[in-house]
Amino acid sequence: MTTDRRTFVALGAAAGLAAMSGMAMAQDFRAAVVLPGSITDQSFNQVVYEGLVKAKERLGIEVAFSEKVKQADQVSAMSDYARRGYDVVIGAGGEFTAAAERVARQNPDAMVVVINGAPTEGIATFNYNNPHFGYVLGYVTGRMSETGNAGIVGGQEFKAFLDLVEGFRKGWAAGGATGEAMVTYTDDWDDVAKAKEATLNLINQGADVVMPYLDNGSVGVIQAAEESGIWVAGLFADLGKSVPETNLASTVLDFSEATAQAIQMAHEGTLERKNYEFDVGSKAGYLGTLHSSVPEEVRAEVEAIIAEMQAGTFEM
Amino acid sequence: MDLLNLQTLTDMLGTSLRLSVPLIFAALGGVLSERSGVFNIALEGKILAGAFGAALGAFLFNDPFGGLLVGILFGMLAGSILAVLGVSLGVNQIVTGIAINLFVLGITAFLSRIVFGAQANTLRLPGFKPIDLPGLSSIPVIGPVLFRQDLMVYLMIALAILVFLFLYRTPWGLAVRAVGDNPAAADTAGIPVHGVRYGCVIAAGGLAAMGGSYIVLSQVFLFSEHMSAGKGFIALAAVILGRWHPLGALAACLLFGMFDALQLRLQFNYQDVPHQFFQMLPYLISILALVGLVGKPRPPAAIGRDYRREAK
Repeated sequence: MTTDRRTFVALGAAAGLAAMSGMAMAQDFRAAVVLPGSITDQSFNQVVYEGLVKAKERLGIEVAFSEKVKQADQVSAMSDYARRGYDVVIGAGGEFTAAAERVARQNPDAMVVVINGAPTEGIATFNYNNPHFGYVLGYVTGRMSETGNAGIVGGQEFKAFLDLVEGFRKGWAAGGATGEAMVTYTDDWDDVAKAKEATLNLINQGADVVMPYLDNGSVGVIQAAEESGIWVAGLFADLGKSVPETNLASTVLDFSEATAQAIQMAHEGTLERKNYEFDVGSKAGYLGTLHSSVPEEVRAEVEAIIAEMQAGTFEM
Repeated sequence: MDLLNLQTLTDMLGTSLRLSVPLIFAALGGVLSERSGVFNIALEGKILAGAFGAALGAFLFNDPFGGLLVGILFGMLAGSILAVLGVSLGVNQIVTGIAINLFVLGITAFLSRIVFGAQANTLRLPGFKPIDLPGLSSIPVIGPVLFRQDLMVYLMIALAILVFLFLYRTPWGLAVRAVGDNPAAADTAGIPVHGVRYGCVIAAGGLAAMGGSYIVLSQVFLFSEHMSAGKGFIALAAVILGRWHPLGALAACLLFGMFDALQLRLQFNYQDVPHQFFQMLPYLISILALVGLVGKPRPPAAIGRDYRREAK
């Protein structure tokens, strides 16, 4: 495979240079990720970090990361890596889009990538087909809900989330649920206690399925669902692995695979400054565990929907 | 929304109280420390230190009381740093406070990865269980809200009253207030100014840490990084809104908690109104209250000022 050969040559060259000069030269391929949260949040930040580690192991490149970078520090954190000659600088999350655009304009040599970012000129964005993921989860949970009401707990309002909610609501209705899918924002991605209270409120309003769209706060949503004996739906990670009794349906947005792929493409030189989108059923995003009580016919229906999505013939 | 629906009202008041409790513990600490003349920007860090300590203690001893104890110790430790730097060494108290907040944020994240590792967010630590006060808890609305709570909530009510009695009904309380308003005069009267400030700042650390312990031991039963999520700063606002009075601060915290609970509920009853509007409400109320209701806030006269006997 060309990749392996190239990697081998690069490694060999780097080793040779290192041996000659006693230190590694700037020719080494270097990738950096800037993260909004902590790398142990069991959610988005952790999986992106895992993707970086994966890329390091696969390609033998040099990597670096900055965690817990606040909105105001995004530009300085990203342009710092770009100035230091990192070949690819990745912003983890849609909230980096504006900062990434500026950094890319000021540092034309660096490839700037935003994971889950809106398609933007001058940068490469890796996206998920959010309406489709929302639809799949909405459909399964809508088929299973008894009260007909769902609750979604988000951190802040932004496009990817709203697209997801729209898809979820369509799937929810298509699955036959008669009530509504309510949305609450906690305005804090990490506040576990507040996320739990918000979820308890949604449950009191009749929701029997809840879905977190948070960082550390997700734990509060899952706990409230466990304590109240209702279902939880997972979007990012397979909750069927951590809370198999409470998880009704999970999709897996494998941001680690998306991140690793972005770095690998940049390393191979095939990465372009355009938008890449993963649909349900791809290597970087797929349906995870469904609860054992989900009947065969529902499983078959979901399989059929995903097959249509992959064939490109699906319409909501 | 139907506020007259008893169940809804009970749920909402319950949420209000649960969201207020960590604020109240921290605000009581803030009142104590600021009344002795030491700014306590570090409340946020002390809540977080307490939360981590509580998780660590509960994890090691497998017992919520062990958690509470270690939590309080960690908070007092953070308080001691502020005391040494801010009182003895005369470093700017605001800068010290910010430094402590940042330090605690980093060290707790670091230690939590060492102690809990990957299981941090799936762990379920032993916690306090609600205690029914027989008879009282069956009163509609108020019963379940006030008398079906766990030990920490009853402790909080007792501590609020104790801090009030201490500050206004004991000679020691008078000494604290004197040190905060006029340390030179207090010194002349033979009150050990630095000693009093040390006591207050360290006790404040313990109190704020109990707020963090409440989050871990009564609400979510695990530690997650940055779980204080700005509560210390809201408590600080409550101290000012409550005019440096323990019961005033308690009322302010309850107000913040209630608006927080209200906005969580209003959001999905009025989905057409931007949710930011509801999130703004508690702060709008506090600004209005600061301007209109409580008059000009008058902080303790010597707050933030270093006291040196020989200095002019």
